[in-house]
Amino acid sequence: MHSPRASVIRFFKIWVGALIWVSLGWMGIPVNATAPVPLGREWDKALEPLTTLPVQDTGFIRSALTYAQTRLIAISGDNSFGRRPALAVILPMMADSEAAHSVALIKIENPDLGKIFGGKTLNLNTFHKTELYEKMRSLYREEESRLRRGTGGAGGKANRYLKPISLLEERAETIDKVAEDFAIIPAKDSWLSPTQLAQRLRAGEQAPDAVDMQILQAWDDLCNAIRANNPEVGAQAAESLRQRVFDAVAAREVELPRLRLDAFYQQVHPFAKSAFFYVFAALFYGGSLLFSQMSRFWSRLKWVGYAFLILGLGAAQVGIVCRWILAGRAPLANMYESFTFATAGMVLVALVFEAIYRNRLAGFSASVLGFIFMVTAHKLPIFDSKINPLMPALDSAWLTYHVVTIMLSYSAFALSFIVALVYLVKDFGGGDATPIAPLKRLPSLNSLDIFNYKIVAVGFPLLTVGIILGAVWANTAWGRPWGFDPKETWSLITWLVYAAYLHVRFLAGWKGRRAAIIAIIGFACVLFTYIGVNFWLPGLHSYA
Amino acid sequence: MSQTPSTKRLWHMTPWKWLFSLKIGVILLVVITGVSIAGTLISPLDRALALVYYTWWYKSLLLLLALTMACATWRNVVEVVLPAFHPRFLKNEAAYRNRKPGAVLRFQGTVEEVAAAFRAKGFRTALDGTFGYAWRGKIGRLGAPIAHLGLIVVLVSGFAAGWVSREGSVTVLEGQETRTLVMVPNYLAAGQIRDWKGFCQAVNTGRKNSAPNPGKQIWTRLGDAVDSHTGHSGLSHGQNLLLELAGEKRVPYEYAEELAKELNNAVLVRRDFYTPESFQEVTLPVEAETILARDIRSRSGDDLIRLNRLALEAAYPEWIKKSESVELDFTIRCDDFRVSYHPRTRMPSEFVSTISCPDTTPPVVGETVEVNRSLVVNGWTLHQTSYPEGQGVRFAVQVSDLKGTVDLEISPGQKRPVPSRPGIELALEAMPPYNWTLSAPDMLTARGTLMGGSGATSTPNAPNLSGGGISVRAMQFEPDFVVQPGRKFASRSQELNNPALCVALLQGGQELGTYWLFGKPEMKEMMRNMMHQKESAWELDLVRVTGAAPNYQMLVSAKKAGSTEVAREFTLSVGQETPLEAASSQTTTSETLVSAVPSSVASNSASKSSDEPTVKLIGKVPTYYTVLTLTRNPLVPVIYGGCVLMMVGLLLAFSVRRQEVWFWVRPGEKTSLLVTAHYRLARDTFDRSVSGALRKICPNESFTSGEETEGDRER
Repeated sequence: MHSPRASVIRFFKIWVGALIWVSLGWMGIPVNATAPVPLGREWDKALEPLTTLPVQDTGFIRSALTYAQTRLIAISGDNSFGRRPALAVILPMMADSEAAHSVALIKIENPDLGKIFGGKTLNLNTFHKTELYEKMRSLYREEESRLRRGTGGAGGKANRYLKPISLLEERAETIDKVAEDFAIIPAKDSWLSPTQLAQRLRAGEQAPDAVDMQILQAWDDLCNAIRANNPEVGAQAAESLRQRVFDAVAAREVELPRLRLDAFYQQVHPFAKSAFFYVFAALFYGGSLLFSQMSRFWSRLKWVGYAFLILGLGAAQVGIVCRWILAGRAPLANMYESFTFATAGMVLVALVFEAIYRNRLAGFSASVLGFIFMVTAHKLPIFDSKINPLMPALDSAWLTYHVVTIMLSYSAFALSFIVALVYLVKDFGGGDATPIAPLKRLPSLNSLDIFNYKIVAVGFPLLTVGIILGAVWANTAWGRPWGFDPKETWSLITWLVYAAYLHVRFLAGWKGRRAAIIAIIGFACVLFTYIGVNFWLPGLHSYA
Repeated sequence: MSQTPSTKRLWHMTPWKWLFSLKIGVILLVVITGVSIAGTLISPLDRALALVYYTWWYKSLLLLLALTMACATWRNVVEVVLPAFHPRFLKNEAAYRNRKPGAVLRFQGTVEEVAAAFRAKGFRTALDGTFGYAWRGKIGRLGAPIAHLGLIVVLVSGFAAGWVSREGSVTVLEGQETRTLVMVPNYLAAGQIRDWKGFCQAVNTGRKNSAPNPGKQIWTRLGDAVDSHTGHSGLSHGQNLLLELAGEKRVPYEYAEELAKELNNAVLVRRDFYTPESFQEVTLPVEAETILARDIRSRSGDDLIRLNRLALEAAYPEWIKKSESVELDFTIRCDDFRVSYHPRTRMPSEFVSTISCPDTTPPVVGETVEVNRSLVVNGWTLHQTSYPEGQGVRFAVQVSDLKGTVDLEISPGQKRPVPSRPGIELALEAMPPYNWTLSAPDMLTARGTLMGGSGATSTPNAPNLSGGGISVRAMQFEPDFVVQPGRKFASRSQELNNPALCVALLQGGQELGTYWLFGKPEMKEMMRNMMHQKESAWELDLVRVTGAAPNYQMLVSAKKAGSTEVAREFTLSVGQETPLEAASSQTTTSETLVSAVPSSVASNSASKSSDEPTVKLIGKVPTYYTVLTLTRNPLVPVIYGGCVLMMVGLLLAFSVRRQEVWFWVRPGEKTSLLVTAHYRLARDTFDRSVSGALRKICPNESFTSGEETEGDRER
């Protein structure tokens, strides 16, 4: 039951709204001229046929769902908006440029820029109209020119805004080109988007083709239905568009990839699911590790953790296989791919170690690190989850051999790092005779030390083989096995640190704390080789 | 179980001690690691190479590490590994009682029985009276020495490769050839100046002199390049950079890179840089004198750059590295260069050079070189590096013969093999009208002329059919018409999905215009209102297409403008011309223009000539230089051998489980068995195999054993 006050307000709203509606109509001003962004739930059924509609995007033919998600992520940093799926957001933006300009989708990550623009998101109209934007652009240009001249910068405000503004511009450009890039008109080589086809026809650059015209018509119908917010008509137009595109694909004998698999990969997000499983595994392993002496129940919890870890690995494997099939190559071509692969490798190494040595510390370490790594891979902007085409330098079978061995060695070193960390924590907490109860329940220092050695004994030969394979590849591609590229040099440095770990352990008896410290230094070198070099020391391996 | 040497060995003698010392080895590892880290902080890589990695002291450190490793490995092999392969017996009771893992068990049997139990578990055994020794996996001891040996081989051969390996680059324009391998290019790079500060100070000193000299000349030429970077002082960007680099203040290395570019643009390519007055006190090398001796008009652009570079090197020998190029013992010809992109991206998917080396034995013909797929010629390995765009004309043509069609690109003046047609070569004359010749050892030569853009072909002396009336010529036919980017008309396929014929109306030898005729009704509808049809006195229509690719026959109808009745119908194939006003319904086969026919059958009919090879122009394409890196390193197999040794060594060292067991059946009132064991990784308990053997012979005895290692046992 509404209160009398609420009823009055409701009554007032309805009648004032109706009055404005009628007045605008009478004045000839179009009502509801822009498409709703995002489309409402009533559109879900209408959008269904478009999920697996083929779109050519950055060298691949992908599903429309993937196209929408990658564009939405590029604009807003998220794959949904207002709890609505990406297609429901991107389609109206393509259908109506005014709608695309008016919806506040562009994410502002920089807090200073957020203050200037008055929020965490902004729309294209605000972005382009604001005077502040112009002011910042001039600062940006000044800074850029100063950097180009090599006269250095004082590191003022312009310097701080250099990247964020550039990012905002990229996001704005993505919105501007969202319709133009939607290449659904099939061809043997380069597909066209309806927008491009219409432009070419208008300019007389292309003769109309019956098949193309049918697709164009179906697309126009869909756009009109979206603008009119009419899901019934939209459903028919979507079905018709899908039919026309697939007819054209058949007529032009274009080979399509597995679009259903593509849509499945985008909808399920296997790597995100693996993070979910890892966090549960970590909880159960942690409980088991700390409270196993309280009762058998707690001890047996490790098996639940083990099962969750296997589930996480399974999900990651599904993700890897999906990407492999969709890209038509091993998914090891960029940092996101190698990072997810290394995480899966680390979990695999941990499971093998646990199976052999019955040491739940391996499972615990892998589940904690697995969760952290997966969240990092999906949240940090340096990791691009898009499937990109391969550059010629990477188009080689050596890519798989070299990167797989290197990543497996990194996986082992990551585990070794956690074990070394646990060693040091326990050591500083009083060692085996520690009075701190949780530390008491951890394996003995000697066990941790030997366990750490065993992990390094797996990682070191893998790293050696990986570096050798890389040298063979370099000789094939560039004509020299070693060129002191920063990545190569840092991999040598990492190798030297772990070589030192093994030598001082065997020959000088450096075990325990000192060995743990070297293992931690070694992993710091691994991280710098893997991530740091790409950002601070660019070279031939900058893509890796 | 280390052995004390009975004799004094080399590693105990003072002068050599340090070579065998672990401390020195570890110190070297730390120093090399630190220096390598420092090297990565130097940018760009060329400079890091010059300052650190290619210096004598860095190489010495690596060699010293190799030497230390070799000595330590030798010592280890002599002292530890070789003695370990001989059976050793523990005959001291205290050793059995004090060592871990160890056990004293009641046992009534003989030492042979104990040995048999261990043999059953896969051990090898040796006996000395009542003492026994069992071992397994001793080969693992060889792992570390083999791995070290592998690393030594890699380091030493890598060091030696610095002397014996050669590397250079070859830059060839498509359709051209070269024998010059450039080791250090003429154009200046930042790394080619040994000391920028010294060089800039020398130039700065020279420019202050009143008399003409190289420094003054460099300064003046840099001053000519006034650009947007010109500062308030009125100096050019290059002059400012030079002064900054000559100053006392440390400046970023990017300045040097920038000045190198300025010098290339303002000095090296300038015709007025070298003047006898400015370089009168400089002794030029013979090569420069040779260039100067040539007539100024016959000097090419490359000669000019070379001359300027040689003059610079002669003027500042202590600062500028000498440019170097050598003559190869074979010719490299770039027949073709192809770059393709991933659809809807600017990212290249591949770039491929087609290379021929005609003077090798056997000759290399049409081999491809691309990234990751190199080519070996006369001991040199050719690697694809880059592809700057060149200037000039290059044609995309289509060669048609009985086997079908082949698309290829060719430059004027080029002769290249036709892909997938072994032995057949296509040659194009260097100048318009670009006569072509298709030749093969066992076939008659076909000749013709490319006609720019139309795609039609004709002989230079073709009869003029049109006379004073209007005639129509079929210029181009596309069975599945599409307009590609850049307004390039092409076919999606060879299927007749959207047939389109391009015709030219000619009058008195003059082209009135070209028109596209379409076969599909909807396309005709669209074209009906186009202007050119209205302007013409004739309306043409493509009625039907017969035949198969590439020999299509097009039936065209013609009617007078405004008339509804068809006045003429005639069949055309590409290249054919027919008088419109006198055209009959029959094809003017006897008057067909034949473009590519062997000389012996030049007068044959069109139906026959259509079987002859023809060359059709598709369009013009960009020209590229291909840059190939040539390497020759005879030590690469040795380096790989060292790598294999390392991998084998590591495999042995880390994967073989080494076990040694000593046992003694002590006689006495109560016979007992004393056992102790040694594992690669120290542990307090017997492992599964030793425990199994002991349980078999002493089933009622208890001793410490474990399925897992002590270290792995969980609480």
